[in-house]
Amino acid sequence: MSLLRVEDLGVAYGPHQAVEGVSFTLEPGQILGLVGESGSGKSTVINGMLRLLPAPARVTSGVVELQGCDLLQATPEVLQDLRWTQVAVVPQSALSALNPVLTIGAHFGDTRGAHDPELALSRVGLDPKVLAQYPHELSGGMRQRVALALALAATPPLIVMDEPTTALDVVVERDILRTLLELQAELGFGVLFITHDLALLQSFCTHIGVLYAGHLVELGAVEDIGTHPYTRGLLDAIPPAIGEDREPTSIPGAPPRIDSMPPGCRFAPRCPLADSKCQERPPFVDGVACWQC
Amino acid sequence: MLAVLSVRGLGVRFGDFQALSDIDVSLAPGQALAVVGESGSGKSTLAKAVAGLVPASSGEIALGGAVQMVFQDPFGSLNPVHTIRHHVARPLALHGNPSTVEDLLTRVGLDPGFADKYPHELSGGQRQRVNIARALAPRPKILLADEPTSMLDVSSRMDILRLLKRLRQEEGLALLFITHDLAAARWLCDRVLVLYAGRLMEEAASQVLVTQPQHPYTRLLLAAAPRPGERIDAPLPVVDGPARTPGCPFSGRCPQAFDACTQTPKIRGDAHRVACHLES
Repeated sequence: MSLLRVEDLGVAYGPHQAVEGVSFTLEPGQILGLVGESGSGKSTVINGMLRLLPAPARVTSGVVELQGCDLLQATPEVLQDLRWTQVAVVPQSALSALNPVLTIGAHFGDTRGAHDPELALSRVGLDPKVLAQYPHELSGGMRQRVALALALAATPPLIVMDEPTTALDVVVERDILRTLLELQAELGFGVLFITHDLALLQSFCTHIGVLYAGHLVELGAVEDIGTHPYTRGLLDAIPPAIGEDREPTSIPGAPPRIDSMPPGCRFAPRCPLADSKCQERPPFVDGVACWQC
Repeated sequence: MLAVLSVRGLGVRFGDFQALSDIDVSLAPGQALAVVGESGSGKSTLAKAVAGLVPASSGEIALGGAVQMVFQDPFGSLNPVHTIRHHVARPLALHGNPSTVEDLLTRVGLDPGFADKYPHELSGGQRQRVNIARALAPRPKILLADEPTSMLDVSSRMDILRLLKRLRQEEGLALLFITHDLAAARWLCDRVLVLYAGRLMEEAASQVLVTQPQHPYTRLLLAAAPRPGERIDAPLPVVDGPARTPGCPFSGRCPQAFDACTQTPKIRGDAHRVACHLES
C-alpha cells in the first residue's frame, strides 16, 4: 500500500475546472516535488486533497488515499484525527501561519500530538528558549523552522510543504532543506513539496511532477524528467548561475486563464511541437502526457 | 565614457542602525551593475538612496540624468481602478514627453491595444512591462530595478530580463539591478557587486565574480545557488555565528575568519574589488 495515492483528482472553483485528472502516488521515504507556475493548480491540488479548500471551491472527482484511508470520503471527525498525526502541512509564510499574539510554546500547546516541544525544536536546530518567544522576535528562517518543528512534532508519516522556502534567502533555504533531508533520513516520512522552482526540486527530490494549467503533464524520478515540451521549456528558461554560460530560451505566450482553457493539451497553444492531434487531451503514458513525445 | 551615476563613500543610517557604509558605485551609459545580497544586506537601501527616497547620511551621489525606479511587485505597483493608459499617460504629461502611450507600450514589447485594459487583465510579466514603460516616460538615463523579476513566473522572467538588456544595449540606459538571483545578475549585467550587512564584500566583472570569487561570502552565495543535477547534500561553507559583527560584518559566519577580521578590511583592487583580510 502506498503512503499516499491520488487518483483522478479534480477541483473546480465555481464553474471553472482548475485541476483535472491529477494522479500520483507517494511511497514512504520519497520526496515528490510538484512544480508549476502561478495558476497551475499546485496549491489547489494539495489543499483539495487535504480537504482544506473553502467554497466555492469543490472537489469534483477523485480518490485520495492516505495509508488506505480515503480523505475525500472521511468524516470531519476522522479528518481531525488524521491532521498533525498522519499528515501535517508546512505553509509558505510562517509569519502569517503563526499567531502573532501567542508564544511559540503556545503554538505547540495547540498542536495535536505535540507532546515534546523541546525535542521537536532541537530536531530542526532551534534552542528550546524560543518556546517563550513570540513569532516577531524570530528571523524568517527561524519561523520557518518553527513551522517545520510543529509539522514534525507528532512525527506524521506524510509532510506536505507549500513553497516553504520561497520567501527565504538562498543560504537559509539551503540550510532548512538540508535539515529536512537529515530528518527525513532519520524519521522516514514522505514529503510532498510544492514550488515554482524546478532547479531547486532537482537538487533534493526523489520524484518530480510538473503541473501546467491544472493538468499533470509529466511525472517521474528526478533524473528522468525533462521529456514534456513544457518541462523542457522550464529547464531551458533559467540562465545558469555557474558553469557554462548557456543562453536561456523563454516559452512564448502565457498560461491560459481559468475561464478560457484550450481544449485537449492545455500547453498546445504555446508548444513548438503542437499539431492537430493536440486538440485532444493526450493520455498519460510512461510518465508523460504528450502526443508528440 | 563619463559616468551617469557616481556614488562616493555613501552611508545611510536609520536611527542607530547603519544600513549602508562606504559604498562606491559608478555607472556609464548602457552599463549594468547588479547589486546582490541577502535580505537586510542594504541592496534596496542603495537603490532608494540613489533615487533620493532615503537621505544619505554620508558620502555623495552625482547623477548625470534622470533616475527612475521599477519596483518588485507588479501587482501592488499599478492602481486597479485605472487603465494602463492612465498609468503611462500621467508621467508623459508631467514630464512634457511628446511620446504617446502607444509608443511607450511598443517600446517595451506590448501591443498598443493594452492601453485601454485594466491591470487585472494583464499577466505579471505584462504588468512589469507596463511598470517599465511608465519608468521610461520621464526619459531617464538610469533605471533602478529592484528585484523586477522575483515575483514573476519562470517562463516570463527571461522576457523581462531580455527587455532590460535591450534597453541598455539599444538605448544606452544605465541599469542598477538589485537582486538576490546571481544567475540573472550574471546574464544581464557587466558587473556584480556583492553586499553584506551594508558593506561591499566584492565587486567584479560578472564572469570573473562567478568563476573566480575571492571573498568567502561570495563563495557561500555561489555554493548556495541550486545547480540542476547536483544534490544539496554538501554542507555550505559557513559557520554558525552572529549575522553582523564589528570589523568585517561577515566574520561571525566566515569559516576562514582570523584575528585581523575584528578590524574593518580595506577594499583592495580596482577592476576586481575585494574587502577581505585574507590574501587572495
